[in-house]
Amino acid sequence: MKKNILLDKVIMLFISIYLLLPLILTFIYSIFNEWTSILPSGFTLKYYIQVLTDPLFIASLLRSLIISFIPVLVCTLAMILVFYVTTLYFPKLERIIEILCTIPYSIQGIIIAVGVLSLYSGIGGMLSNRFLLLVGTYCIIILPYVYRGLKNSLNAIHVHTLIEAGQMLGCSKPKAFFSIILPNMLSGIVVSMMISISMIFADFVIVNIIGGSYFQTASMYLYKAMSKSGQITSAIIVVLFMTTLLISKIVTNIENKTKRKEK
Amino acid sequence: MKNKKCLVALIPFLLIIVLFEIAPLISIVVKSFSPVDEVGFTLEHFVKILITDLYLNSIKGSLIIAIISSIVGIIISFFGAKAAHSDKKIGKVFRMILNITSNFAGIPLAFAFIILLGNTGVITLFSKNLGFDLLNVFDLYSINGLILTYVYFQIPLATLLLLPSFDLIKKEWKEAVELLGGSKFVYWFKVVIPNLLPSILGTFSVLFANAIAAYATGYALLSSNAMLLSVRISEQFVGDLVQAKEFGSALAVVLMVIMVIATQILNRIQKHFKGGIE
Amino acid sequence: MAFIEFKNVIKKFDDNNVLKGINLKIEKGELITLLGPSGCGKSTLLRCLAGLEEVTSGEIYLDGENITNIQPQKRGIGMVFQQYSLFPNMNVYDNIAFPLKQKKVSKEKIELKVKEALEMVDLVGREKAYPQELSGGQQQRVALARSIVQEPKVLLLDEPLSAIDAKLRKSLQEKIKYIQKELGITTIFVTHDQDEAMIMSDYIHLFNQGNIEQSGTPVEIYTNPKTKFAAEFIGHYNIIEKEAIENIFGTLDVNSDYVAIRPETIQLSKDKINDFDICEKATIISYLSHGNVLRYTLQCKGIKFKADVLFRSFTLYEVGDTIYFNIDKYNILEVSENAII
Repeated sequence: MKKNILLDKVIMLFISIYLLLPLILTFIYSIFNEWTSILPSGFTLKYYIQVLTDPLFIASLLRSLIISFIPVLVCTLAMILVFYVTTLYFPKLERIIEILCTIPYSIQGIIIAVGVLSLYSGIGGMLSNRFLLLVGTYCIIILPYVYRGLKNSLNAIHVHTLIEAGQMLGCSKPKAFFSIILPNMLSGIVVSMMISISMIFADFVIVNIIGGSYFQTASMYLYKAMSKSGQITSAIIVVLFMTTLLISKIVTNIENKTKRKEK
Repeated sequence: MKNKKCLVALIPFLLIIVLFEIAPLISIVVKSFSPVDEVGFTLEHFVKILITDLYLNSIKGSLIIAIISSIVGIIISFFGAKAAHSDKKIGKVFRMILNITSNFAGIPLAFAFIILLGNTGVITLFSKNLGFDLLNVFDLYSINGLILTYVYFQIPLATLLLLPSFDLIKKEWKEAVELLGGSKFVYWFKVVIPNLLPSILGTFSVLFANAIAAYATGYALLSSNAMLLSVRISEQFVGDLVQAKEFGSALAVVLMVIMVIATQILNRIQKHFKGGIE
Repeated sequence: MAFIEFKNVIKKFDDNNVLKGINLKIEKGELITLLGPSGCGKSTLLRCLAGLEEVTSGEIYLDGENITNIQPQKRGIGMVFQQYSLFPNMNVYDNIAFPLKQKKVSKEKIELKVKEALEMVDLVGREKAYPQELSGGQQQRVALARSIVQEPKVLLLDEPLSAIDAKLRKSLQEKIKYIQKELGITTIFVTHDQDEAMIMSDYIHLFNQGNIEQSGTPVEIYTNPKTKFAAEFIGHYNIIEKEAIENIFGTLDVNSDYVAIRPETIQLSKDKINDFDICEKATIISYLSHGNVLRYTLQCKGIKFKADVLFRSFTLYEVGDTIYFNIDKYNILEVSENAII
């Protein structure tokens, strides 16, 4: 038995090293001037300064942030309304909704992006606005995750009993849904929002196809930098990575704060 | 029924679905059978795919990379998930590392591997100093390199997906097997794995879908030289080549068909093993 | 008009006719029980009264008003569910305060009423606890407090104690009875447990397959079941075909096809005695000890009977013993096959 646990610890250690190595190396690469021998030389932070003071980078970072949040909010709100309808009034619609929300799992991002672009890019009017197309496409990409997150939180509570209890305590069905059920789904909503935001923030293929030169995000800025300088590229990677960690920290803090307020 | 009023709440969802999921999909399928800039029905795009080496090799490349990286990924993740269950504390740290690194994919990942194993990569140079040239054995800018990078991002995803299923293993199973005189081999191969197979296969299908459609990593390493279906597809819509919506749609349809076939195969295998397990 | 009246209430779920035309009157201030096996319609009737189910046809009146088409939240009815009804994201105080907040009651008044409710259910001091931290019994007490704090016209309890440990059930039954008497709220209790029904209620309505089979006080129903179903459900009656029993005991003044005999009305004696109408030889086949009661299974002329004897002395009859089976004819009850509508 002991031998097994040791083996397991070794396995976890090796996998962790394998996973962390590229990350750590990228970081080291970004703070040294050159690395042609075994150890790097010339510690410097100039690459970071260069990146963080480049207005193009800041602009692209802001765009990445905006495009990460908006589809998530839109999609989550739309799905909450959907679950409001299917939970309280038309449970039979669940099946169709599930199918519609699971299609994007198999029809991966690139196909949707290509379809959206070829369909709408020629048409004038609102639908040819690249930002709008991007938001819409991302909504579909994250749809399965938002659906799963909401569905799982609903399954974790006894929705019907809670709604009926609410009714017998004086509130209408809609009021019961929004004041009793929704607060209990909060942690599930936050988790799926987290996954979705990370996915969009890190995405390249969709924004490359739909955003193109109209809407440059940080990942596109990064791609451009790859051909210029290795150190700058790694600095950008580290900055973006830190941003992702920061976002998850903030989101989990908000989640904890809401939990504390209820107490 | 008097409740029909509330269906209004479905409008935002329906709008998004119709505009961005249903319409584009229909459009892609229709376009794939349409001649260029005309209305009509033609199979010319699919024929072109089947007779042109470039596209056949890209399809082959995507398939090989997806299958191999998924298999390797799932084996490693299986042991990783199993290991995570034996020790609670370390397992928690391990899980955290998995969560952090699961976001490290696409361009950042490709770049990190270039730093590590590229022509002037750290490990490459290191090996040269030790006296042997890594480049003779391994070329990052080849199908092997792609597989290695793909395996990297498959591991956290697969491990995180497999972790919950190990919770399902009941210690009563081990005790029952022991009492009935079975060995460890029997326990693992005749009891645990068959029971975990639905989730293993489910995870495999996620990995496969992820890998076959992956674009950024391959593109960052090899740009348009990458023999990947996803790169061929996006080429038809963005970049230096002339826009070819219809042909691109045909390629996209090919990708969809591959995924549907893969899902069907995996479903069938799943059903075969599921038996009575719900 | 009675305080609550059901007029020919029919409820169908698709093709399934769950309530087949219920006519029922309930007086103000009573604690009545709807009793019956699973699927008999008792919970459905309760939920129709609450407004959580729509009746297919028929009417429901509460305090003179036709409430058949009024929404649940506007009926002034409180309900305690079997389980999982407390709001997990709120603590005990907020759960109980919830209905008062819906009515926009002032903060001070809410504090007062919640305190009163907590005192009633013996949970003072646990205001800040969350439902997950409470035991099943405590949760139900909170659910009860939450329902009564809004001073409902009627209190409905849908198998509130079925998920509670047997030992705890007793104290909760007493608590519910006490609160009901104190506040004088008309209360309807649904259960499938006949012991519980007998302890709790002033009046019992026994349900069978969508109809009320028999109504009466606990003692009435227990000592005088009118149908085979009622006799089988309440107590541990011996139910025997009239012909079979007349074969061994002689003709009886009974008009139905079946008779029912309460196990405790059968007397067992070592020797023949003359105190009873019928005294026949019988053999002990087996027995079970229920602590203070011994239940013997005995065979008398080919028919098996269950007899309950209070365990007073140490003399136990053994399996195989021959004893005498004694009973008075008035304790052989007439029970019909079907309910007389």
